[in-house]
Amino acid sequence: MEDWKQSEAKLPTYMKLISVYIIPEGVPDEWLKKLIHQTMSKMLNNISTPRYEFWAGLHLYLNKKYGDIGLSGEDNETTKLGKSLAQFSKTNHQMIDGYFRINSEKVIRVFKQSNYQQIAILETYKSEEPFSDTVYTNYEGASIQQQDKLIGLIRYIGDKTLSPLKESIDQFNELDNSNLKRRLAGIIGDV
Amino acid sequence: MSELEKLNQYIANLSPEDKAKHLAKTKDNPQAIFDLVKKGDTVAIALAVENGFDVSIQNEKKQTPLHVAAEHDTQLIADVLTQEANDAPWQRDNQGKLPLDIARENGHHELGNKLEQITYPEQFLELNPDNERIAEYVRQSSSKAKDTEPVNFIVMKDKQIDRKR
Repeated sequence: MEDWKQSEAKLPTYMKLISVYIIPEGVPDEWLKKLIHQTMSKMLNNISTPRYEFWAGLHLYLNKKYGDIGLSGEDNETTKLGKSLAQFSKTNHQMIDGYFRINSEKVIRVFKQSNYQQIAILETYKSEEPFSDTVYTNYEGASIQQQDKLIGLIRYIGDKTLSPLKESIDQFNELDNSNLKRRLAGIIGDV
Repeated sequence: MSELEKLNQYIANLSPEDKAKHLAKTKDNPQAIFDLVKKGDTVAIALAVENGFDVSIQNEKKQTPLHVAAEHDTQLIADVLTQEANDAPWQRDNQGKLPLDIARENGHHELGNKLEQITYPEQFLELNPDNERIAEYVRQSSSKAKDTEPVNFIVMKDKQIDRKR
């Protein structure tokens, strides 16, 4: 995004079309009227920028720079993320798929899609104290493979915060714990 | 004996010094209970509850400790937080979600099923009239004007409960 601020794209009627494309219900006209003389730079400097404006602007910027990115408003967020990762990254043709243990506290389900992977990650923690409860933390997201690395973005299901993912696939071991597999399957669901 | 009963027995046998050590974790900072849930520290939470801790306390996201337990599937802690009837199952966070919603959203259905019984106790008391815990939640709920609407339930003739799709 380093050259975002240099993009002096204005945001008039075209943005309305983009916005409708992103969110099916569209953007209220009263908002659009305020945007006629806006630029990316102004938007980023405006702390009250509404989310419609930001995402529509981002979409416009990406289209200008890379061409049509082919995302449908009917795709869910993970699908959009996965397709974007695949489009803007160099990926392996071969992708892993299945349930794996990353380390003693982290397991992953990798669910192969057409050109990216949908992923679920489960972190478990249990202290040594008597009667301590096992604490489970769920994440979901999308990834691509670059050589022996799984690279992507995951979102904590609790508060939706995003974090990057970069794991070495050669560290993965097949997961044989049915309880953890069931929990991972529950995060993604039967896609 | 259930895990909750074993826990209560363990706590009853703790020394006064050990009890004081655990109680100190929430004594001066009640908000610390949210971290205790995330650490799975069941004993400290059970002792706090036993000593009158307000389990309806909310954090900056308006979550109760029961919301956080539902998020992380800490089932014994959820049992501790709900063993005495209280309002936490009907409190909504800043996104309007009940602890039950959080459990379902995270795919923690075993805990979700337990929370469903106390969130909509009237429906379940009909099926389990001798369950004193559910009866307590019915009494608790009838004393409160809560905004839960159990519209997504059908009580089947054969006493099975199913959800509308």
